[in-house]
Amino acid sequence: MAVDVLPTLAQSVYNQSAKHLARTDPEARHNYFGHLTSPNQGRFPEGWRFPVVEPFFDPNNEQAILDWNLVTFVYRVEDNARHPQTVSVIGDMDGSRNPIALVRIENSRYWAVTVRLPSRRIYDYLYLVDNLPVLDPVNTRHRLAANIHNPRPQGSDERWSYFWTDYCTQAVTFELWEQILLQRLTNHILPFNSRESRIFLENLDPSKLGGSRGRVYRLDLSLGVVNYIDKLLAGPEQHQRAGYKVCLAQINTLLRQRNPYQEPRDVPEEMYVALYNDLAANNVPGWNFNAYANPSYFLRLLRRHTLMGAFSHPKYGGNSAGYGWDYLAERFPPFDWRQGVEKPWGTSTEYRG
Amino acid sequence: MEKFDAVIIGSGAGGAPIAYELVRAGKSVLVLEKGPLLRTQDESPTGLSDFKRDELFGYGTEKIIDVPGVANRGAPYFPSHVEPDLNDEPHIYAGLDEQNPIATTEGFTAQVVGGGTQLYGAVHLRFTREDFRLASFNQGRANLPANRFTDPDVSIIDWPFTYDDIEPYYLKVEELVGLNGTTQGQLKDFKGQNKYQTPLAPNPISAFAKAGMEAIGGTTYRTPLAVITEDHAPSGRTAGNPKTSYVNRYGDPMGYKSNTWVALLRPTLRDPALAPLLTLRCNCHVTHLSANGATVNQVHYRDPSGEEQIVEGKIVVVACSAIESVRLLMLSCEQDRANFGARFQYQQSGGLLGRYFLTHCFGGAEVALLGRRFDKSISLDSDFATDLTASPAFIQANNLWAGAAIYNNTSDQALPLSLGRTHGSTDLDSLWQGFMGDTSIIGDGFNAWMDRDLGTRLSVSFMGNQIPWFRNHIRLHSSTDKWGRNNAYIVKDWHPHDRVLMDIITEQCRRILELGIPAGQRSNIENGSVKDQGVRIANHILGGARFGPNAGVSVLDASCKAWNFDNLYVTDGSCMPTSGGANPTHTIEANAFRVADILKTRI
Repeated sequence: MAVDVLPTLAQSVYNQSAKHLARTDPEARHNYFGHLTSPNQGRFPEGWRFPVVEPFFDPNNEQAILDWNLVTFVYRVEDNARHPQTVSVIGDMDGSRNPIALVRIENSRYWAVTVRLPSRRIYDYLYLVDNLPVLDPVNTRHRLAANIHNPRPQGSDERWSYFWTDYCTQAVTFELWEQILLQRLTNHILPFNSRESRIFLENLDPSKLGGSRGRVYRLDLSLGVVNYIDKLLAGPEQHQRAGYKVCLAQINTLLRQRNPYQEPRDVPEEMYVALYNDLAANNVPGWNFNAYANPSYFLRLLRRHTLMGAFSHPKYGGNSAGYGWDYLAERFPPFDWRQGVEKPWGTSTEYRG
Repeated sequence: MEKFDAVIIGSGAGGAPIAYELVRAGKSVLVLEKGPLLRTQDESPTGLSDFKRDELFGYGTEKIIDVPGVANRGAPYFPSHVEPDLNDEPHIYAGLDEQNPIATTEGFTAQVVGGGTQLYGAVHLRFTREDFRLASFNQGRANLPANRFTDPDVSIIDWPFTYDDIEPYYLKVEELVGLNGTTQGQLKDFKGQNKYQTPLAPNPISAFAKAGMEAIGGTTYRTPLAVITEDHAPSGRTAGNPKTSYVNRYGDPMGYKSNTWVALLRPTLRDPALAPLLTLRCNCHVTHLSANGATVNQVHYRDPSGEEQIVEGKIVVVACSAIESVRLLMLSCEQDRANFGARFQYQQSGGLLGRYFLTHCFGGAEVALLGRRFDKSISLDSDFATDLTASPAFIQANNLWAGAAIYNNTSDQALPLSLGRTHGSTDLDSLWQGFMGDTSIIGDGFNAWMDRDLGTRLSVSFMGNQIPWFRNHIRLHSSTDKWGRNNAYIVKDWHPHDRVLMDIITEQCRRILELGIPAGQRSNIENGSVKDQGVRIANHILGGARFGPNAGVSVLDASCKAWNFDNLYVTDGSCMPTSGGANPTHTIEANAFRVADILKTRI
């Protein structure tokens, strides 16, 4: 099915791009001390914001804001480069894999196109600048994606730029075993599985719960925190990705040493409690401090990411189905987050999201 | 070359009122704004606002400072979505010893059409009569410790006009911008007129603050807020429900919060008779001004692509918030030391550009109510205020040079991420650190933390006058921004008397909570001020190009025109010679309306 191409608005493109892309300084000010080392990357702040993913509103379909996104592809012609004749984007946005043309915005250096794409997905793409395929020079996310039609000559670089739309739950950072370790660690930080919470939840009178309420019964399931962190470390906090990987590998090794008879995913809760306490004390027997010098820093980081994942807007991939917010409302009345928040999460009759 | 009657740099509190007035006087106006135009829901082509009720908009994900030569290189920061990237355009701060400068988020308001009025908490207090005449007020006073004012670097001057002169403009702001509040109980003279809309019901938690303010002898009033509670005819806005707690540091997707875009610029552009006279160019970064003799004849800027552009204005108004305005003028001096620089006595003995930088003495007290929980997510930024500590009697009795307003805060820590961010943190540069390090907040401990802090915390704050001190200044730093221009360097600390003032008013805030909440119903009261944190600016960015009676003591004349220039005006907070004992936006806007009346006669 062909992609819906929507009007591309000059004002919107400038609003989304000028702060990040317009500049004369050639330095890599934004490579996080070398964490982002690919060509060109590090010149632009927040390269993960490109292409720009926004919510989509349909006045006749309340569900549309969950199912669709507006995505604006922006390509800025470098100051010293001649203007190309054509710029287009190719990838798996479009079932037919046809290039989607970008248009030059007024007489500016920006070329852009806005399309409507399904949410909850990852997309691989390349720009075709005068028919030559190039990675998005701004987006810091790219990966091997050889399974889609590659316009480049056989054997050349098979990396594609990629992005994801809202509510995406496909992993881009972590392997399954890493996700499971993280889930156990974050469950230990969050309140939902604590003894006190279980008693609270078991004693809730289901008959008094209406609408979205009552969903907290499912809090034993993942709150999506791990998915939130997975996206965070591929995007805004890409600079923390390598550290996470090193720490999770160490934790995996340590848990196997401490209990050779069970998989780390299956070891009793007490082992995670002990590990948490060791990390908090920055005194972790068996930790390879040469590989990662400050395990308590990893724990602090994980604590912040866990809180953000549990209680930020669900579109970022955590706070699944708004369960995190529901828990707060039910456990700590009269806190009512719903009245200011858009439907379907909240009940605001004015604000649409 | 394009020519306009007026080119205004900055679309916030200091610039937009002038655009509003000049266009209505038939003048052609260009407003250049560095930031984007973020639209409200009703004006957005997508049907959705560019602002969101989303906690990650107020403070975003982690970024890392990587500015060469600063002491906090490698430190994290968590900017809002409309603050500049610190690695592209930092503010550099150091104390008076200039050791270990750091890059900081302090001192940026917002880079967006509407400027700081988009993200502010919208507290819109008038200054008191004495705030405009503190030199006269203190002259000959016997009860001030002498050493506090014999310091030759302290220079207190009266404003070049009185409260009575600016009063009609305060009224104008209250009507045109759209404020709610009550006049009764305020120390300020409203001269029998009241343009406030009716305040909404206060959050019930604020009753304790009100009781405390009254218990210490204060009269209370509803904190004036730039939020419409009724349909607002001057700006064509329809009222709705603004009580969401996504207030301070959030742009309002619905446009109920009155900022200079929805209240002044947008209505002008929507009026077919006026729109042709107003040109708004956003995402345009002014790099410098150039002058021919005493006339600023060119404004140089980078357009959204980054291309260099030049425009001309019969007059040029600089209003891009005090630090950036001073920086822009200094960068212009650097381009042309012989003329532009000489006219500002730039880097010469006696030069005052950048001097007497001010913010506010601020602080307060905070407590958690025991056994009671309120929904602070249904609130605006503040409910009650008192002028007790701004009264001449209080100032005299406490041997202070000036006063302060006190008001309670309601929208702070109302939402879960804000609780985590601010747990144990004292400023924007230490966000999240407390929560990250408090490893006892886990499982049942997490519940206990929320039980203690979610919807239970009540705080009262003060905003007090800061001593104008020559040593507190802005200049250019050797590091450069993404355009290769030198960044702003802020060197400041608190004068000893500032610390005295902060201690005394902090104690009043503590007493408000002590007396307002029965013992046994509250946790230990935490109180304090910024007296040991020289970096703190409260986003109240004032001084650095003050106005006054002559070029010997000031940078601008009474009309905000730079001495030695014919057509260069500076109308943001940088013109203020004293910071006033209240949040400054109302006064910046009123002064800009005052200057606009003068400019109408000069173009």
